Amino acid sequence: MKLARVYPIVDSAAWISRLAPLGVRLVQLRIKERPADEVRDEVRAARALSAAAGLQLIVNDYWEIALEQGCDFVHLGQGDLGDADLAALRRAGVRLGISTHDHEELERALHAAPDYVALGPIYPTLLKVMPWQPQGLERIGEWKRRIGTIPLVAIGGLTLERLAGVFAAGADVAAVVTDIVRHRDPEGRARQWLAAARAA
Amino acid sequence: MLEVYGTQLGSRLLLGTARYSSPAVLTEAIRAARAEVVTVSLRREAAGERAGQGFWSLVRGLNVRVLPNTAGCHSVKEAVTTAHMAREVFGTPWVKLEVIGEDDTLQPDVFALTEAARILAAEGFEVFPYTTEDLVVAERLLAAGCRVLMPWGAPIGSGRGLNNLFGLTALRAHFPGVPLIIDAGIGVPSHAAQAMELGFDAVLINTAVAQATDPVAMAGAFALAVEAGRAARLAGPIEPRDFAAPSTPVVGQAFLG
Repeated sequence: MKLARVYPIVDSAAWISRLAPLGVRLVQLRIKERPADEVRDEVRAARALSAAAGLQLIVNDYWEIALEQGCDFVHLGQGDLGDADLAALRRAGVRLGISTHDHEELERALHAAPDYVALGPIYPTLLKVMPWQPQGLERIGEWKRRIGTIPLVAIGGLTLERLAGVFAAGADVAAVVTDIVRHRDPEGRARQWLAAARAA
Repeated sequence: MLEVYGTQLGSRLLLGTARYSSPAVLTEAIRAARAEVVTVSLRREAAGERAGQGFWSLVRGLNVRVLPNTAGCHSVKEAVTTAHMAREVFGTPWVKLEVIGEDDTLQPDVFALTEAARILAAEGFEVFPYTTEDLVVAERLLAAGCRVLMPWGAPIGSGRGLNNLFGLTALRAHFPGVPLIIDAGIGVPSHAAQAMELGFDAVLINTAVAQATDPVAMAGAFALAVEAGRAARLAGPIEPRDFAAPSTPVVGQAFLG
């Protein structure tokens, strides 16, 4: 299945209930530092909402809960990549996206035969303290040449204004966080992102 | 007893769950209102700041029937998708269908509303449409498969009471067998009593309770008003007249010359 060209990253199932009706087709659920029970509740609700709305859910980090709840797409950072039971995920038919920040991580990621590769941060990001300098647009082209037909997801500091440049540089998909969920009108902004993705 | 979609309801006061200062106040208000049905917004009230799933769990734990709404939807597609998600989360075919057409008055877009109602009713939903008092729209909604109508009293949250008494009275008279629930615009218990006196089957209150200085006490006041208004309706109110009619009979009065 082809991935949607843009997708929001959200931290609760409730965001899915807000954004799905607007026509969002793909969402990543990224929950940080919450007790396992709460994460399980969120993932369960997110899966139910996504199924009802017909959108693809990607669960970040919590691959065991994702497996247990019958989710079919997970995203792993490099730290989780080492610990995750990739064989179990594959057996369950779960697809896999992996974060990369440098060449070494990219090689590790490719070794796991991912369904997409994420590259970030493209621009300075508000959300994470990262040891990496912003990758910049040139790096997108370099990554795309290396990974070929595997979809490339650009993430980190993306705004609507930066979207065209990111696509022009070779990204297949753009992931967005603050420019939607911290916008004063998240629904309105999400509509603009979707329109821009359709035009791209 | 009020019957909606085959469900008997003892209470004619439905309560919205938005804009309460805390879950504890909401819980107490529902108890004080003796409400059996609460509306829940899947999109607005459960999102972000309200720690989504926690709020839904709270509502599920209240031992009341949940009527999910599609608040915040502006198109047929948004409303239909939201209804699908609400059915999944709350496990009910009930949906209070709102499709907003105008942002200042939050007036329903009755064209989109009718279309969304048709789609959802065909899919097996039991639709409670938030509509105006317009008779023609009401007819279309019933034709679309709705078995309950929820006409507004006044714009959502405005607290202005029953703005169009003539229209609402006409609506009641035209659809004597259809459960009609006044939704939106009720500000004080006397408005609710008035709706019940006019023969409406129930009222739905949110802001007037949630934003009162003491929401729990106000919920109790509304419960009394709804009961009083309903009892008055059943008791048969007198018709207003233009001139005084002495309430004390003159026959038998002492003649004091």
